[in-house]
Amino acid sequence: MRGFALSLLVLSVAPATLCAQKLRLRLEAIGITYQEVREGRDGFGGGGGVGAELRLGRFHVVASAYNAHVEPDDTTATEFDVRQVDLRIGYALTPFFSLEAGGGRRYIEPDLAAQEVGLFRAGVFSENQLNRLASVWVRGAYLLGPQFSGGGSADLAFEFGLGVGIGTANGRIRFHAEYEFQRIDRRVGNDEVPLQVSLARTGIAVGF
Amino acid sequence: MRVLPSLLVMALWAGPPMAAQQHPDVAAARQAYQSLDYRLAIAAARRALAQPRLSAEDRATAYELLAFTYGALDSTTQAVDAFRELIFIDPDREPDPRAISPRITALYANALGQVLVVRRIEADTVSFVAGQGEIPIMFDVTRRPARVTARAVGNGFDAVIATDTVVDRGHITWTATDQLGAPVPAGRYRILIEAAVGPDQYTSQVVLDLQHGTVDTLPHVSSLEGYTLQNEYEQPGRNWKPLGLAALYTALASGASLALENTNLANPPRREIGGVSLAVLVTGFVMSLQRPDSVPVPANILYNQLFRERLADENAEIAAQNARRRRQVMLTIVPVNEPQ
Repeated sequence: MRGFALSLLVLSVAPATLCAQKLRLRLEAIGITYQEVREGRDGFGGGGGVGAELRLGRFHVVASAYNAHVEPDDTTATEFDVRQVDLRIGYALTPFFSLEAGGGRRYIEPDLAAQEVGLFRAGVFSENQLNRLASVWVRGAYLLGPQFSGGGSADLAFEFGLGVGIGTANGRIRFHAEYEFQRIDRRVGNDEVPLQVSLARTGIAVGF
Repeated sequence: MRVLPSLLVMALWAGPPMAAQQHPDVAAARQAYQSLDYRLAIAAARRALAQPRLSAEDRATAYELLAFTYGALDSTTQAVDAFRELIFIDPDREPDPRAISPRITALYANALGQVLVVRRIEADTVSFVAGQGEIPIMFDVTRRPARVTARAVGNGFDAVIATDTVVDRGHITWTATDQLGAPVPAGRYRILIEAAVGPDQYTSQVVLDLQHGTVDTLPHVSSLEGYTLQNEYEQPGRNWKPLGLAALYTALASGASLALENTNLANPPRREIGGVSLAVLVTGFVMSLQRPDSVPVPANILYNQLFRERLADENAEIAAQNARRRRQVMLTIVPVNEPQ
């Protein structure tokens, strides 16, 4: 919880000092499908999130956080909140192709209702302008050394993303929709306890 | 025998034009000459010339009448002497060969060959930038070869502007600048042309009014002849590239996520990928229906850049030229008819 609060604080303070740069602040609605191996922990939910994007030359930094309330399919199971912060730093090799690295942290409330996860990521990002108003992007990353509150490890963990943005030509206002898919093949001892998250976010961003 | 030439002269020459205020003796001489009363004409002309306050015009007319009368009387020596005096007084005054007997004009030519004068001085109005031009002055010298020295005098300026040996027709120029190349002050100047042959000397002059002015500056240019700015952007035709890109990205991401779903988990409803994929495809479709953005034309941009650089160079050159011109002085020199 403390980390999550700190992340939100960073996101709220950073724009004040960096607004002279090419900065975009996002506010978004979240839809999430959360799955663990046990059926009782499959669930759907929604919530809200914030984010910030900063572009400096070939570099871009994307920080985002969301909070979603998940209701398990099993009505006897405990409902829980998923809070996640992500940070991605990218470097553009070409106008359409970037390398990305970063990390993320997922918090669960109440504790033990689902797995809390901490991870690093390394991947690629590709964004293409459809015209002056719209762009689409995809990203994919391998998740490095994910850590779980319940222990265990994951040999295979990756994520994909797809997004579209459309807004004014000057970039001041931009609407976006984004899909994220995350699969972590968690193993505890000899038991396979995989995690899988499908996330949709849609919102508005204000550029500076 | 002597009457015939006189009649011939009378037939060919109506005499000098009557001045508005002619001296009475000069008028009497003219009247007597026209009445073929040569004795009276000579007496009246002599009487006029004895007047100390006789004007130069009347004096010239009196000598002219005297020369014609002596010529009519076949008194060659006196006629030539009278013509010599006439030439000294007014070197440019000469009998009209179309109206005067050849014998008279021959006498005039004889007199002209005996005296040294500078005559038929010609100078035209000119304008030039100080230091970059000159006024030409042409003249005749009656004896040759003559050593000619020309001086410009006026407004505190006095300098020899030319020395030359002249045969018949002389030509000098004046730049209207001092020794340092600076323009002389505005005002009236006399160009004194002194001719010398042996001990004989004669000085004539031309009077010039010199005015200072500013040199016109050049306007800056905003276009170059034969060159026009090109459109730096062009509107491409409508295409389906946005939809194609959207479909490609959607297929890539959704295909990967669907293919790589964990089969150990229950089948997810996939509403997230479905919704976002739909949004991406719709956006691509709508963007394809829009007119494409204008795209830059590199060749035209380069052309325009070179054009503007050339224009800037031209204007910089004009600005530098104008700066020089503002420091220059335009001289206008106008010859003035002033009695010598």
